Amino acid sequence: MIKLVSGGSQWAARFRHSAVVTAVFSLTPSSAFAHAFSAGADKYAQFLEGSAVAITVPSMMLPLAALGVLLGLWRQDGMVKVWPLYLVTVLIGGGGLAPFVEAWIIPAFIGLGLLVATAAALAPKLPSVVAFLGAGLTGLAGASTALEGHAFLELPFFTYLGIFFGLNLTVAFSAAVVSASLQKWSVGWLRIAWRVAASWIAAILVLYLAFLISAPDVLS
Amino acid sequence: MTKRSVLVSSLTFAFALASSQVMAHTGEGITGGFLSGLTHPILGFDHVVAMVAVGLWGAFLGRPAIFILPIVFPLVMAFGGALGVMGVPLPAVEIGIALSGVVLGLLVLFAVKAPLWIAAVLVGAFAIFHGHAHGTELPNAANPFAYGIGFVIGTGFLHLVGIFIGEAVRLPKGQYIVRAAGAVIAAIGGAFLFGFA
Repeated sequence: MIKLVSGGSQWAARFRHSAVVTAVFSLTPSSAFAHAFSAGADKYAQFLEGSAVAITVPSMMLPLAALGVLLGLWRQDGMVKVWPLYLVTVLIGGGGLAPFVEAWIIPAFIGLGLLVATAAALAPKLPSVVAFLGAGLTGLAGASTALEGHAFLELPFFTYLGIFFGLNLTVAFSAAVVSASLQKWSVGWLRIAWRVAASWIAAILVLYLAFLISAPDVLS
Repeated sequence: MTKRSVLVSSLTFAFALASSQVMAHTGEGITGGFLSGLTHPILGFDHVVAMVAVGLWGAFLGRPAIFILPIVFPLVMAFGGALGVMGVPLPAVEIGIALSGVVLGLLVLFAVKAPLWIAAVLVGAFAIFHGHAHGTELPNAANPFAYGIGFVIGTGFLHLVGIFIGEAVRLPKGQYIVRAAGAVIAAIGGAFLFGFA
């Protein structure tokens, strides 16, 4: 580096400047904010824990993704149309129904996801009532499943916030991918491809449901 | 290139050639479950010919059957798989699987243009037998979720192969190739049906 600088290279001068700045910062390290949550660690962890329920647990994620595909196939702004209803039903399901449901809600939610995915796969033109019904029931059952058996406000607020976020993100993201792709590439086969994807989700849910019924401990 | 890098490269190459079987994937966990599910439909030849035949016949029937049949088959097959997983008995599963090869092969051979609903019902009926066999033979160690994904993707892949081959019907004299493939599938199905395979 020294040799290059002495040669007058502009690049080398910049490199030296960067190296000095980097060295200064590395000598005065502060907390790594990406991992240290000393001030709000618990709240953020609670939020992540809540979000992860809907995003990473297969029995939650697949039915929610199925609804997203259904809404994306239904119409360009399908998610926007049903979102108010979905939000309300998520709140009702999480706040009102969750304390009263038991373990049966999990296979019931998977069964609902199976119906929604099958509707998306088999119905070329979905009636509005199917989309609204699917969104409403998925909101109710999804929030109830995520909070199964927990009493009202039993969990920390940020866990609720995370669950609420995850339940919305999974559906909205799936719907956005489907509708954005259909908007960008107006080719006939793409719509069919999404219907095939919906049928595959349905097929996976059928098998998942069978596993759950026959050997519940396998999935725990 | 320095002597050191030549030495390192040579050693790496030698170790790569002398590598033994990878023992990490033992059929357990996410990866094992996925691979197990993926290979299950692909490794059974009687399953393979029937699923490829679905794609071939779909290509002969044209739109929308070419897309509808691959939607129907995995759905109904998963239902059959669920019956197998739950231990619900189904009579004459092996006969049904072999018969599916014969019937679907003959339909391709004679380029039968059935109405869509008949095609869907026929394909769906055979799919139950295939799914049941997979569900019954399911390894206990497999991760169920990963197994389900692999199982469905493996089946879909075989349909795509069939559709891809079936697209040859658009070529001059291409339909003879596809029909010949149908004859081969029917023969293989017959071999399984009568115990020659």
